[in-house]
Amino acid sequence: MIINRRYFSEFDWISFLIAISLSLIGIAFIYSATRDASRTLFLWRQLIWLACSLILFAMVMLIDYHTLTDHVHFLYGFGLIFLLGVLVFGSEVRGHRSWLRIGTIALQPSEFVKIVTILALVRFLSRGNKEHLSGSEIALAAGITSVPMLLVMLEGDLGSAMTFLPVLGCMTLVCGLKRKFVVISVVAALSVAPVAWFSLKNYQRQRIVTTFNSELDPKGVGYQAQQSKIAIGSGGVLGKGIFQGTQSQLGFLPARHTDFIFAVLTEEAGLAGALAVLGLYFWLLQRVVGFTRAARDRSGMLLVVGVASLLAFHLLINVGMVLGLIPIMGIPLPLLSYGGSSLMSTFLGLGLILNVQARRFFY
Amino acid sequence: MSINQDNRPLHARITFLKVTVCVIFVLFTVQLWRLNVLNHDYYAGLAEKNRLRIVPLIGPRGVIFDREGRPLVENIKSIDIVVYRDEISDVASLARFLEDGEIIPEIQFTARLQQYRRYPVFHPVVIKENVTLDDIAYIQSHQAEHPEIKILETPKRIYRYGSLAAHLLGYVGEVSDAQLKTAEYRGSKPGDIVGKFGVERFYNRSLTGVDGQLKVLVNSVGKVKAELEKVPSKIGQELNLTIDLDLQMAAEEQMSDKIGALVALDPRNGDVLAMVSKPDFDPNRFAVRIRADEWRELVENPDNPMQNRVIQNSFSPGSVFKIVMSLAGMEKGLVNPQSSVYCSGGETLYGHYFRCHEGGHGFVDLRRAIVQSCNVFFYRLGMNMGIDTISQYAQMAGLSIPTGIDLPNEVAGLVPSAEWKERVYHERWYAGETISVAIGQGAVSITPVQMARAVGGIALGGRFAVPRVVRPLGPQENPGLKAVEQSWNSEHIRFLRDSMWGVVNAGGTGRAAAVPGFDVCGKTGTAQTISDAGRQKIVASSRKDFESNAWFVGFAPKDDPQIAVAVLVQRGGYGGQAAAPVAGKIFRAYYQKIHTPKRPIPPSLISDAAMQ
Repeated sequence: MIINRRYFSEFDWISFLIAISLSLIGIAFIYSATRDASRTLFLWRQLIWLACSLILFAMVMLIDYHTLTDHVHFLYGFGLIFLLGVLVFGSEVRGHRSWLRIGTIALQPSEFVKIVTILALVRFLSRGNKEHLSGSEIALAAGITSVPMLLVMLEGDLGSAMTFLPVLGCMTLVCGLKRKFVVISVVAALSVAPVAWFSLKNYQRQRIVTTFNSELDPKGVGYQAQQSKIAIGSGGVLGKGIFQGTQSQLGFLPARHTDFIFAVLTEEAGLAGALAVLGLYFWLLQRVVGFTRAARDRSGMLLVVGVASLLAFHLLINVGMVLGLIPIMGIPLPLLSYGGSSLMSTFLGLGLILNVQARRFFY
Repeated sequence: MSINQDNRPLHARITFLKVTVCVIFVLFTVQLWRLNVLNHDYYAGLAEKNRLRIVPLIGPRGVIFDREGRPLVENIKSIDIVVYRDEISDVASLARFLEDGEIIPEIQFTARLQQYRRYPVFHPVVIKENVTLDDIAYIQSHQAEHPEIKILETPKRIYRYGSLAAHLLGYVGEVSDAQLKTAEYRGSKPGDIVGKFGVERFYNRSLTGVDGQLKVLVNSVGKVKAELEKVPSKIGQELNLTIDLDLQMAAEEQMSDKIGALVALDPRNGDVLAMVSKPDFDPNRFAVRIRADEWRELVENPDNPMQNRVIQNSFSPGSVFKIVMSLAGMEKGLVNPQSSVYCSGGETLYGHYFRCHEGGHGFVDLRRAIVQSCNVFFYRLGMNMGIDTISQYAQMAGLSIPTGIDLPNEVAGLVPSAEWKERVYHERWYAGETISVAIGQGAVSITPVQMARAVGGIALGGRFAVPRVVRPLGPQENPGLKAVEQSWNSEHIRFLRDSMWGVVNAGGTGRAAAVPGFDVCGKTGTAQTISDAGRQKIVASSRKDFESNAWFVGFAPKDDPQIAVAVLVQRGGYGGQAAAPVAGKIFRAYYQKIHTPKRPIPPSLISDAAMQ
């Protein structure tokens, strides 16, 4: 392990500071959304999670990512055992058996398994040097992804399981897919859609229907989507001011400190605040994707693509559902939403990316 | 790891992904613009609606006092359970919840919702009144699951003395759809509690309070976080009745085991001092939503407890009508105190035998005819007078015309005339019919309040004040209703007073009404409720239903009439036996009251002027 001055000077402080800023903004609005019912409980908890995340981040920075990819089969196996453990011993929260409870702390191993899966994909996809991936390579990548994905699905967390797909998609796309594979997968997706529709649970189907007409059933399934839109729209351009949002402060907005933190932000900080936060995310993504050019090798590049696509997908799905553009799925907003697993896995991912960036001159 | 991999095509693909993300960010910006700028007002309105709740503050109705300022009708706080329909998410589960907590059976709840269907959705549906502590605990412990259920404090009418003066005070209830369409209840909203009977109805507008409202900030489970704006409710106007509680209580007690009516009034100003109609009802049962079976029991009772017999029913006056006959006869010069007639116990007139007292009265003059209530004397007088004169004088005394008392549903009664028969039956009046009318039988029909007013007015020499149950605040009140004045010979009046004094105090039919020291004057009546011919047929069955209505009408004291009383005991038999003792108790109660120095009755405006 080589640590020298150059390593620190190459560290990308800007993206690190953007991530820290977003986390602190998140903590401010988590406090705003929960202070009425729980005072400072969630504020302190999230601060502790942030501290844990930073420790984790520092540790990842110290390890060469190649060490991780080289030993990824251990990590992958470990991850699957955890997921199985959750299925057996996990506790159920809002219909999902995806939580592992240790004392008062509850963790979602699936969040970490996503990162491990990326590492596994990096290892197997970066070996080739061709224009396109071969069929067997694609099959292998799909296999690597589908095992943890199916386990997460079995936990009942469909939204979280879905996030494996775009990661796989983006990484294989970047490695090169022949036109026929793209066509086949699109056709397959379309033919599976009706089957998927009927295999969904009733509430899941209704969520989809009400996305396009949340006024349809404002008291029932559409309630959350409608309350979210009310919170956002009533914020106006400059917002109602922190601690002043009636939707969030009076509890009309469910899951406000977790999945719907962006609605709280928009209600209290308005269009201006929402655009500022989206701008920070955009800047972060832009910067991170830029690292692909600097990456020393294909594996580093793929690692960046994988983590960035995971981050981007979480972000887009979450903001899309909060804005009422897509059905509600239980996906948190990275860095902003309350939750230790999400925050730590995000910093873990960022640590890996910055690791790639910082090590670009090490050969 | 080779460093000579060609990653250029990979960068091109990454650029493709970057563009996709950019497009989605633009989409988000557009959606944010739509929500926060274009539709901001719409969503701001919805947010307001979410957090604000309007709690109605119901203005209590005015308190009603007796003439000495003793409260008869007040308000108490009642705790109601209401449901806000716009917040119901699942009617079936709400109904089950309410049934499980024994708040209201599911069927009744559904019916209640149905009943409110036409009302605005924000109008709370009252599902239970006067709830128990258990009910409140049940609702509050499930408030989070059912924020649509609320506990509301509302004023409820309480009638302190139960059924005392029930017909006069009336009752309140939720305004009906039909009533909302009438001018009388203009300004009422669905769900309002309005006066439906008696004083409560006649003075509904004055008594009605002004509703206020409370704007509160609520959270998503309906918990009130702050009061934002309060428009306090206002209590309705107070009413001071002319009723005297002591006299009313005495009257209630006297009538408690009877069917009939009693009214006592001050003939000088029309103040009704007591008013009783039996059987009666307890208005408190209406203040809370009355149960359907209780209501049916009241309206299907053959004795009509919901009728105020003092003003809503008219009866044959029987011999009390002889007062009017005597006055008319003297004024027309047809009789004088010296006129004399021989009574043999009956007389055949127009080929028909008309009965009098068994055994006959012998020679009777006008005074004796009144004191002993001789029919033969008045048959002759009626025959000479003719129906139109009878009708004319009866009308002068206010009979067959509504008195204009400040209570709803007063009827006019009837004194027949030739013109009336022509108009209603298209038949000529037969002279023989006049004979029955002369003794207050036949088509003559008079309300107890008319009777009391007539006898009081005649005693005062022809001044007929309009009866009233609410004391006016100033002399200008009730400008449309003035006392009717007739110019009758004061000698005739004095003679009538003396004769009526004789009825009670000098061996007449009304001796049971006498009060030592108080010169009570009066006249009894025993009105047949069925014709003689009909009586023959059912005489064997001797059912009480066919017994006569007993009357006593009188005033006191003789030379300064202050109180006039009419008592009717239905199916009571003889007036002298069934009605006169009741009237006597009322005169006694009044006499004791004015001779008790501790609590003098506040003098009314008119008697003040009269004394100066």
